[in-house]
Parts: sequence; C-alpha cells; structure tokens
Amino acid sequence: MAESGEQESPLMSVNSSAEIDIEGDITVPGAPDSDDEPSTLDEPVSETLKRDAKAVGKKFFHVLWPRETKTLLREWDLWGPLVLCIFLAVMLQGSHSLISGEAAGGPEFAEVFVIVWIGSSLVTLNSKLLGGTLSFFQSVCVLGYCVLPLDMALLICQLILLASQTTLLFAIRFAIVILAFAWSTFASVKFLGDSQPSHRKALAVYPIFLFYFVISWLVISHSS
Amino acid sequence: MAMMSDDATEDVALTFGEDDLDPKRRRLRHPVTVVFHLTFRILAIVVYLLCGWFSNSFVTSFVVIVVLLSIDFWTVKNISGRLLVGLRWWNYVDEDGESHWVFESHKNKNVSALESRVFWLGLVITPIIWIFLLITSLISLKFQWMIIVIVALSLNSANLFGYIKCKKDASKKLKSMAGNFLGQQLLKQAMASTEENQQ
Repeated sequence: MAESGEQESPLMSVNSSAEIDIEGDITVPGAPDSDDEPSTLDEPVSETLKRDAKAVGKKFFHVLWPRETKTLLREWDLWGPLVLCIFLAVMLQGSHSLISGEAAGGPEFAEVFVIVWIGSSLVTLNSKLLGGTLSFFQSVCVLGYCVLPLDMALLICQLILLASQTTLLFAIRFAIVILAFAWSTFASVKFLGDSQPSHRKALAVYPIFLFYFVISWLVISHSS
Repeated sequence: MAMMSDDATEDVALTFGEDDLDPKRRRLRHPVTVVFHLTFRILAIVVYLLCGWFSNSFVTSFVVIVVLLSIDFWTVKNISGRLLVGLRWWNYVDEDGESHWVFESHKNKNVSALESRVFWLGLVITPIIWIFLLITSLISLKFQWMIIVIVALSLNSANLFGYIKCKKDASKKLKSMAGNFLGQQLLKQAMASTEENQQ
C-alpha cells in the first residue's frame, strides 16, 4: 500500500484521459479482508433505530438537566426540534382547528413554524458571524431542543386555562412561563456559550434571549 | 439529468459475467426495505395531492406531510441506502466545531441490480415531482402550501445529493483499488500514454 501514493497520480490521469471505467468486486486471495473491521453499514435496522432513539432521549434529558456541555453538541439531529415545533404550533393553534379546520387558522400555524426555524437559523448565523466555533446544524439542534421547557410551560398553561380565569391564575401562568423562559435561555447559553470568545459572549447571548422571548410571548398571550 | 441517470445505471456497467452464475443479483433481496424506501415518499406526495378531499384543515395536512417526509428522510438516509446499495452519508462535528460530511460505501457488497435501480429511481423521481408541485403552488399563489413543498424539496434533495456524492466516492475508490491490483502493466501503459499526451 506504500506504493499507492506514487502510483496514484499517473493512474488517475490515465483513467481520466482515456475514460476507463472499472467496476465490480475484486477478491484477491492474499489481500486483507475488509469485512474483518466492524462496520455499522451491516448492522440490523433495529440497532440503528435503537441508537438514534436513545440519542434523542438523551438530548431531551440534558436540556432538562443542563450540566454536561459536550454531549448535546457531539451528534446533532433535528428530531427533537421537529417534534417540539409541531407540538408548539399545534397547541398554539388550538385543538379545534385540527378537526374542524378553518382556512383562517392556516397562516398562524405556519407562522410558528417559520419563527422557530428561521429564528434559530438567524441566531445561529449571528453566532457564526461573531466567530463562534460551532457548526450550523449543531447550533440549530441545540436551540431547537432548548424549546422543551417552553413546550412544557405551554402544556401546563393549557391545563390551567381549563379552569375559570382569575388574576391569581394569570399570575401563576405568568410565573411558569417566565421560569421556562429562564430555563430555556440558561440551558442553551450553557451549551452554546463556550463556543464564543468571552468578550463577545453578550452579543451572542442577546439574540438567543430574544428568540426565546418571542416564543414565551406566544405562549403567555395564548388564551382561548 | 444526464448525470443522474448515469448514476442510476452505473451499477450494472461491468459485472464480469457473474450475472449468470449468481441469480441473486437480479432478485429483490430486501423486499421490506424496498417497500419502506418508497412508501413514505410516495405517501407524502399522495397526501399533498389529495388532502383537500378528506380534510380541509391545513394544520392536519401540514403535520401529516411533514412527519411522513421526515420519516422518509431518516429511512432513506440510515436504512435503505446502506441495505439496498451499500452507501451511506452522514455528518459529524470535530473538536473545533468544524463539520465534516462523510460519504461511505461498502467495500465488497453484492448489490442487486433491480434493487439499486428501484433505489435510484425513487430517489430521483420524487424531487422532480416536488419541483413540479412547487411551480404549481407558486402559480396558484398558495404560499402556505409552498412551505410544505419547500420542506419536502429540501429533505428529498438532501438525500439525493448525499447519495450522488457517495456514488462518486465509491466509484473513485474502486478505480484506485483496481489500479493498485492491476499493477505494473497498467502503470507502464499509463506512463506511456501520459508521455504521449504530454508530447
């Protein structure tokens, strides 16, 4: 294999100039068998499913208990953000539109989607422009997962709204949303904060703050 | 398009006459995977086209289609690609926050010709249908529905381009492997022809 470096350049050039297409399976008795090394290309479907589901569950847990900063960043996925976003949009829409379906309900639902996805992309873009050492999807993943406390607040608020409304109940709802807002911001800053140089941290955190503030506003102002 | 269809048929380019010896290459070896590879993406299009008939709620159709599309994305990216054609693409992020795209191919996998044809056809045709639907939604000014089509297009074409990259990588790998094994003789020829080219 040591020679391959020297051989490669003339061979590649003849392949490209003469267009020799060589394909097929080559088995040479003496050659090392590549199947010896374990490859996840051969793993059963159930294993892939289990591994991905476990990764998603782990991320949800880390948002609720934000202490380890690296795990959420290592492998990103957008399942959590998708589920949380759909939940948020459907709940804010009100369950009646899911069945009866007024056409007027459309844009509002789409608005929540656009706010969450475009919003998190813009926050990410901002932190990238500030020189953060973080890949795009990683940051969108973290911002999406950190909506979880606000989703929970929305669920609790929805339950409170079942009772007849008093000022006290509004105060409770308000407190819950504020708590969830603080939680979301705290968790995402904890995960994303390290990627920024310290003197620019405030500039990167401010849009995150605004992002969750808008979503919190949607949650608290929803009362039907 | 020429390039895409090239990719689709490249699998059967040179089989060293093994076809007659190994009838398995013509058969479906993972029928369930083939079904799942096609089911979700076709269902998404069918629901998009017909949702006006059985429900007039935009919200319900939106959620159903987006969920179908993301299930399809996951299935094609993680399951059907590696089982049907032995290819997989994924992304990882290193210590410095730099993101790397990995395009893998199985080194010695017997790919059934029929399966690979179904795989590539399914991969290529659905984005074309969505492009057509994008144009129709644009003309009829249904901007809410356009959001769905854009989501569909981005998910479907991400898989398409991922696998095209895998395919290119795989054929490059095979070429250099073949080059190493064919050895001296070819090397001499290569040297001769490059010298000729240079003159």
